[in-house]
Amino acid sequence: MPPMTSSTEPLVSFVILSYNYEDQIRKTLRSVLDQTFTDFEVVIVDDASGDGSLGSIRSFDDPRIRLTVNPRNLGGSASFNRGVEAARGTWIVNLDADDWIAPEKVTKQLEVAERDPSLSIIGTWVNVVDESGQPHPQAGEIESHLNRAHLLNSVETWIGQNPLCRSSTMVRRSLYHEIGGSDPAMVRAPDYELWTRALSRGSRFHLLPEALTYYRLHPRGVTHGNPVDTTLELAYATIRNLAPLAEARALHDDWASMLDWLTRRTTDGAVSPPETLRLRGMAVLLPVLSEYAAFRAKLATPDPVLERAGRYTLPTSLRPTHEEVEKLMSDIEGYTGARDFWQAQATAWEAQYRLLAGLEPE
Amino acid sequence: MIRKEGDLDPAPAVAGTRALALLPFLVDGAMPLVVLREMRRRGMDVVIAFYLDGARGLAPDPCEDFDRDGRLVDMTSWNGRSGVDRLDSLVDEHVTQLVLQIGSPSGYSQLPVLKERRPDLRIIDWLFNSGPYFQSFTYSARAFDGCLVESADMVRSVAGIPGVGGIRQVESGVDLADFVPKGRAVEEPSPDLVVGYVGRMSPEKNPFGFIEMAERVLAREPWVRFVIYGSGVQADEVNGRVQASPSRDSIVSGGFVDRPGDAFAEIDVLVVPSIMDGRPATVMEANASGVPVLGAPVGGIPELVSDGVNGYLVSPTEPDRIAELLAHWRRDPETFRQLRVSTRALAESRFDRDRMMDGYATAFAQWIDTPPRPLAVVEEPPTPASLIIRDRKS
Repeated sequence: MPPMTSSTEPLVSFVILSYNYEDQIRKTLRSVLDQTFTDFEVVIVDDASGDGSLGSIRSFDDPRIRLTVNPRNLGGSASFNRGVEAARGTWIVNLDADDWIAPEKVTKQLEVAERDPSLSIIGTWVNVVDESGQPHPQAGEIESHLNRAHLLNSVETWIGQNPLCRSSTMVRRSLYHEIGGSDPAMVRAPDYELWTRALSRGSRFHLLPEALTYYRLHPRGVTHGNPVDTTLELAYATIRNLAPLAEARALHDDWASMLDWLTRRTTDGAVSPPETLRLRGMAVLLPVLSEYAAFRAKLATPDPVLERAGRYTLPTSLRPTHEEVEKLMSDIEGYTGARDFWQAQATAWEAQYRLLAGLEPE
Repeated sequence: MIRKEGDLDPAPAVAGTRALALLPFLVDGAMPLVVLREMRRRGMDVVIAFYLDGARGLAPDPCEDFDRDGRLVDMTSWNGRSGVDRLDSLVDEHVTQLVLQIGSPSGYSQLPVLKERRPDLRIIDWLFNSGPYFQSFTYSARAFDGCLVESADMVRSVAGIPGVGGIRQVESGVDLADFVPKGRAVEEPSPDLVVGYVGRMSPEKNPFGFIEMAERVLAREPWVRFVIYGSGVQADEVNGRVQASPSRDSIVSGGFVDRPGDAFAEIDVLVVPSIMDGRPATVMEANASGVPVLGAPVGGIPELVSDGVNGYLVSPTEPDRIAELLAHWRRDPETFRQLRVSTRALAESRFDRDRMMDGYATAFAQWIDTPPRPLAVVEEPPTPASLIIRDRKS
């Protein structure tokens, strides 16, 4: 593959992270090269793959492709940051090496960007596929959750969940220079932290309501691999980004929902009770946390002030979830229905008895 | 930013603008409804949303004029986030530019969420005094574009709130053609002065303070007569207290009067014994009716009452001073007659409702003309080295 020689800056840079996806990355690259939009470059960062990924990548003979190979495995976040640093486009389109996109995806995202210049992050709905690229057995359930008109510019949308698939996004490159890149210490939810950081700095999101991204869900995926680490990374993003934003915007109910979420996610014993108190204490006192490593250090260090603040929040939890309220309402309906049924039955039986006994009806 | 309306640049027109007003309930004669009706008359498209049934012991206003035009919205069952969704759809439906929070019990939780969804909306809190709504505003001020107040006292109070946006003051007024001297105010001063309470019977207005003051004045000046007019949540208790008073022969419950002017025609002096207040309309209405006021020095009342011109600032806990004033007027009716004249003159110069309405029209229109307050963001610490993105273009 020839080295990149073009000196002009393309409008779009695809940043593709490659790590041992030799079978899938061909489809990924093919989908990029098949885009209806052509003013782009492709920056691939291979994180020291041990399989034939490099061969798969080098089999594409296209001057728009630039390959960076890490000397050793650096992890997803550091690799991503290297890709962003190498990119030259106004927009960066994120794509993992096991996902692929529809041919018109970038064209449609650029149309959205042109209509609303205030946008910094534009995602799309997704198709969830399995390892073989076929619709995932749980696609219906997962897509029904992801493919909704999410209010991505509202804090409440991000509490305890990430409704934005990274492989679907197109992001202004300048945003990364303004707010920083992916936290290299994070493994499970660095994109969630990045999105919430962008939200907290006032960046505007848009979700294109068309399933233009094919997102592969398989056992190698990191997001759900370790529930405790995932919880702590989500908690960090909540405390670092969402809680201060809720405070700044007077979204007091959202802040309470965050405390509820922290409590629900930490009551199964996976996070120790003192750590749980310190987590909740951090959500109240909002210490300045600039990176995940600092958060983990704070979480691991006994701190009577944080723990006391965390204890004070305990009586405020737990408020019922929407689902619990729905169930309660449904139960009440059931109980009142049963009451009315048996009341009617009793009346009918009494009338029958009176008739048989020759008594006057009531 | 603090602006006082009235002496500003030429006002942008309120006609053609669109507002959504959130009220707790609909009370006949309430100042916000009076103002919103006038704005409607001037061409503003006003939608009224109310959150509670009834009128809390006061006379309700069914707002049929708004209802006829599809401009009355029942929000009584729209709580929590479903209420935000409902407001969101109302803003869509009516292409709302300005949302006025006027005491909606859900406003302080719902409006910050609405503002986050619709940063282009101007959301304003209309505050009359430093009561519970002021406290709620204190916690949510960052989400509002600003607030609208009547008194300089409230301007000072809201200016101290961290994160408060723009502040606009419109001094309230009354209909000077509706409130005119009549009854006792145009008769020769009687030696037996009648001192009245005219207003809402609620704790902050302190009707019990009026009764206690009356009892103590009567102990010194038994010729004075007292009468209480009004309705409200404490009406039954107040009437019971009057019946049980050892001075009940000299303190009368006048009940609710449909037209406050009829009550002012029956009294010589109005006492406003409030514990907490903004810029009470009853002071201005009484003055316009030629009735001097003895007003408690709280809230915005000191801005309304000038000693010796339209009454005196005196607390209900100073019955001796009140008794002395009344005794002086009894001894010197000419002084009292001159006080009545200067009282009406002051009302004409300072309490004109038309000027107030112009002020509100200006304030609303200017708010719509002002760019919306940007959504708050988080001030980040310097980006740590591990997150900094450096260009390494090849």
